[in-house]
Amino acid sequence: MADESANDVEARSMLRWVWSPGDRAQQQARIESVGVCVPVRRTRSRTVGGADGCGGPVDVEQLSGIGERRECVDGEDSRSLAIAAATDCLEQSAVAAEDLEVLMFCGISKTDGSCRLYRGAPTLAAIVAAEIGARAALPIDVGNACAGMLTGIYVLDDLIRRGVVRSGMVVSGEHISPLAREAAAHVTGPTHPEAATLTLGDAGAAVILQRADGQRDGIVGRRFVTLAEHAGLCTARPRVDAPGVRMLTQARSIHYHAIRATPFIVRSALCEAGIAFEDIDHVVMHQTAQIAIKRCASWCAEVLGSDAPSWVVNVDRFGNTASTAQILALHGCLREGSIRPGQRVLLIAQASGIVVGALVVIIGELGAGRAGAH
Amino acid sequence: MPVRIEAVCGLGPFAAREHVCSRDLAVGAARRSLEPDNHDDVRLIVYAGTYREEDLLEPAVAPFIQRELVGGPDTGAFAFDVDGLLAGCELTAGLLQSGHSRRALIVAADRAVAGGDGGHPGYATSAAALLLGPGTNEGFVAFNSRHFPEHRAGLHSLLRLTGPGCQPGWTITQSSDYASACATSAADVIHELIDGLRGPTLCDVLIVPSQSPSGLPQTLAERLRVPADCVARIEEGDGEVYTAGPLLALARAMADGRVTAADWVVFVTVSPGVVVHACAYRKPAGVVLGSKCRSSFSKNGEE
Repeated sequence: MADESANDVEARSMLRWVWSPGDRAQQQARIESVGVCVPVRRTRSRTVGGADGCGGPVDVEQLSGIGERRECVDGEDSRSLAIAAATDCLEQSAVAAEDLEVLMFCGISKTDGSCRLYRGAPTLAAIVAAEIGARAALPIDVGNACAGMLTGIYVLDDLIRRGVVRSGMVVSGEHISPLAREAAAHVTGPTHPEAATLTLGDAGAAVILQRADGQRDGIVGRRFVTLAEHAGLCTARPRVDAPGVRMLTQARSIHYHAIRATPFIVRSALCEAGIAFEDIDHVVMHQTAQIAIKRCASWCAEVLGSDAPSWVVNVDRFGNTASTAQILALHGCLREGSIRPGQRVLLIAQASGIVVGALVVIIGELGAGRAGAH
Repeated sequence: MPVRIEAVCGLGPFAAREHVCSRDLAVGAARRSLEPDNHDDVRLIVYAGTYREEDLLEPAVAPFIQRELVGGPDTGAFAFDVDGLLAGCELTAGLLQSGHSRRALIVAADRAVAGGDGGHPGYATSAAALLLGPGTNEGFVAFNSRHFPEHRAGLHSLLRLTGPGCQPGWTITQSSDYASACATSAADVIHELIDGLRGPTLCDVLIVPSQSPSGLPQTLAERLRVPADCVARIEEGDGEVYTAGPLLALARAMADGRVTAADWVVFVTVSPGVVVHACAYRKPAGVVLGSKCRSSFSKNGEE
């Protein structure tokens, strides 16, 4: 092995090398395609609770700025949302399914066939890969709560930058509206630990990353940390007293700690990218509530010294779609043209764990694929 | 820079009736893998498991392990979950090479799960931890994987949220030909890996496979036509050992000297789907996976 160059070694097999002779040039990963799937059914926010001493009834729209959310109907689940989003992503991509080398499913919910059935095995990644024909892809389920997709992008970016793979897909399908429906029967006021559950909506999202091969667009800065001392502030597990899943959230605390850490994580990612906060054109952060986005924007401006021009908000139309939130918002902006090639986008993860992450992305020409422009 | 295994610790298996908490076991395995040096340069923690304590859906399990081990705020550590031991190893080794951290912990653990009505024996509680760090003349060399969707019907596990008395419960169904398909698929991927390395032969290799489905190590040895002791295994008990299986088998092979004698260790995991993930680890013969490497495999954690 010692007499061979890295290229020779790579040429003679399809193995993925982690210890190869010689240094390989760092590659940049770019976003090649974005796809989504949102259920057709729309549900307006409504007021719930008010029966006892948790602060009176919860007006979800007033509290969170969420006017409506999307909900799965019978026949839709995490699996179908992920497959539909992956298919949408491929239809707008120049990368064929059979050329994907990695496929990561990064959702929290793994409903399959019913909101009462959660899949353990096979992984959702293996199921999605088989359904879309990604036969050569290594399927991996990556989990990191609402930071799942951005964590997936982070690790896939690493595989591409090291030259281990050329392209891969990160996909998620979140079927979490049943939690909101079930919580509505329990929530008594805005301080109730299930109140945040009322904001959850369903969506699927997918991203294809590929080696940039000399193009200037791509992921140019990244930083993720886990503030593990706050790991218990938001948990979801099966109910033991009734069917379904219960999510318990100390909403004020988790928002406080996540927002407080965000500008420092952003600064680290911007430092790697070699740009300033004011050079960012759009910020796409996790979508939990309009007030949370405003507070985070304000705190980032204070710490980082300038306002970024645009903080994307779509939570009013889709609610909190968990791991898909940033990609769903990014897709909407790309489709309506508010984010354009050449612009710098900051993707921010905030998730239970607590996970705070930032990716600095220069958007390139998407939609060079088979089905035309995004 | 090679990424090598600095420590291995495996704990278990425990049958469901023993009521051992898999998260506590995972933390225990991770803590033992860090002792006695108490490395404070672990900035990456990956939990690799499928069946989580209390079937926790959110957040990831890794932050809870981080909380117990890498205490205090602002450590700069990052934690996330990956379903699958070698997937976790591949991603983690890469992130170490990229400079994310000097050392990393991978913790594989599952809680005991009854097979339900599907006729499957279920899984035992078990946990194992790998401490990875920078190497010089040993480490992970290459990974190979293949997906065999033609066998996707072989094993399914589903968590039903409307079980009797509203208690959540798992149902695991396994087809009669699943174990055979796993062994054949794993043998194919190992052959590809060995061929791609163009150095070692199967005679030079200790194979450390998944311990699930039941009987896989023995069947794999037959498929590869190698002596049974060239394939590491643990004794079968009440319930199969799932994600942590290869590491418990590795710890056992380290204890009996087979790892020391080998130039190469090939890890192979087989998961439903069927997805086979294999990895070649090179080490000088006579070395036990690094000078600080320790192992334990008994239920009470005794060496």
